[in-house]
Amino acid sequence: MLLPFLFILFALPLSANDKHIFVNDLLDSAGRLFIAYGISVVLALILALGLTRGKVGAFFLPFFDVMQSFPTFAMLPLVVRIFGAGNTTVIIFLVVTIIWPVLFAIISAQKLVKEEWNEAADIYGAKGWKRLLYYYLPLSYPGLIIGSIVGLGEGWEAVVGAEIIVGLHNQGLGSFFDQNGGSSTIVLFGVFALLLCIFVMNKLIWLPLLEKSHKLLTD
Amino acid sequence: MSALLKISNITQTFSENGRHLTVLHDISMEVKQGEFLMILGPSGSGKSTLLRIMAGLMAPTSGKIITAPDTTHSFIFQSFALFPWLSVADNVGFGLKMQQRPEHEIKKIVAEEIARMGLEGFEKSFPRELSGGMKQRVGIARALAMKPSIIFLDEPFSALDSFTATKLRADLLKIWQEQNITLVMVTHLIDEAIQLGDRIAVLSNRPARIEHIFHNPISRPRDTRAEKFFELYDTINKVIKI
Repeated sequence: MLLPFLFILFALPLSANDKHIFVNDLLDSAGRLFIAYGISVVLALILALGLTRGKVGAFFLPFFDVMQSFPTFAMLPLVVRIFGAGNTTVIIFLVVTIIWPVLFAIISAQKLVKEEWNEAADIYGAKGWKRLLYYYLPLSYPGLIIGSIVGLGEGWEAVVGAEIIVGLHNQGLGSFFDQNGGSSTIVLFGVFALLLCIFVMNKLIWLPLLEKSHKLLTD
Repeated sequence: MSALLKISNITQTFSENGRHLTVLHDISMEVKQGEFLMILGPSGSGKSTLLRIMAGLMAPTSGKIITAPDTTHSFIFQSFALFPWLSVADNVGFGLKMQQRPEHEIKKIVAEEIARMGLEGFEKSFPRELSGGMKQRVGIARALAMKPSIIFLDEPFSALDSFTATKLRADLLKIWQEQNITLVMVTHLIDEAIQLGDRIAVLSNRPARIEHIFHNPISRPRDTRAEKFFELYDTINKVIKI
């Protein structure tokens, strides 16, 4: 856990003040990313619930399949025009980036559900919010974890890109890389520090969750 | 005995890509309070479909299902259908939790059913850690915990080895005799049907119709090597057309 911070503290070729700025920028970007991630997860769960059931789902699924291939950066100027060059724009852009892998991984997990589990849930009265909480969410969990790993991976790339394009000043890694673009050493060390953070987060959070999720649906 | 459930003129046709397949045709029968009714038929004859229709898991293409007031039911599945993310105790208490019963009541009922099915010490285990026989014991405990009027059983012992199946059959009979519940069980084994059932409804090949409903005259406990047992076996065997 300490590895990225030790790297930033001792190896990053920046002054103490610039290191402080880098950490703040990193936290700003991470904050945007996790807000967008939270919104994406809620939306993906709701959409997956609808898309895996009934004829309406079968009708809309191919549409969403095309949507996930949509070049999201192409939408950025339009989003800036509507919402302005601020946090909201970056977060909306991130939601559009993260939601697809999360949504399709949950749908994929849902498709693997045994019909007898559905029947058991019906017979034993899992309806409405109770079905959602005690049946649908545990079933979605493995897909949610895999989708989150992929979605956040794409999200880190998107957050830096979006912050540079939107032009957020002194608020995020995009701004940091934009301002230090003249120094390839700082950019490389910055990218390495960011990769270390992502690596540590995967190792400490996502991989154990992935391991646990594999066991969850093994009967 | 009064009828707990009555089905009339049930027909089930599945349609896919313009093709129609009728699996059940004009089936009528009733389930009486406290009886052990067996539905016997060859593989693919639509027994499980009929059971699911009776249990309300599937709507028939045509026909009527009438249940007596306040009738409740549980279902025991061939492949157990335990929720793998829940422990044994949580699986047994799942239906009670869905009914939003108080936690202390759920714990009490779960402990009783776990003890009845000999699962003490495995309360915190997960389905993946159990043998097939123990999984089905959890399935039976889950069904009993609901205190249902009827339990539907879909070939509950067919995925088990013969020793475990024999033991579970005996346990099921004991539970049925101790509690005033009605059992409707699907099987493709004639000897299992004779050993357990009060009445045996024999289905024909697809599309399934009721060939005959036998009243089992053999008194309990039933000796599976008795002459009467073999006589009934032969009679039923002649009715089943494969």
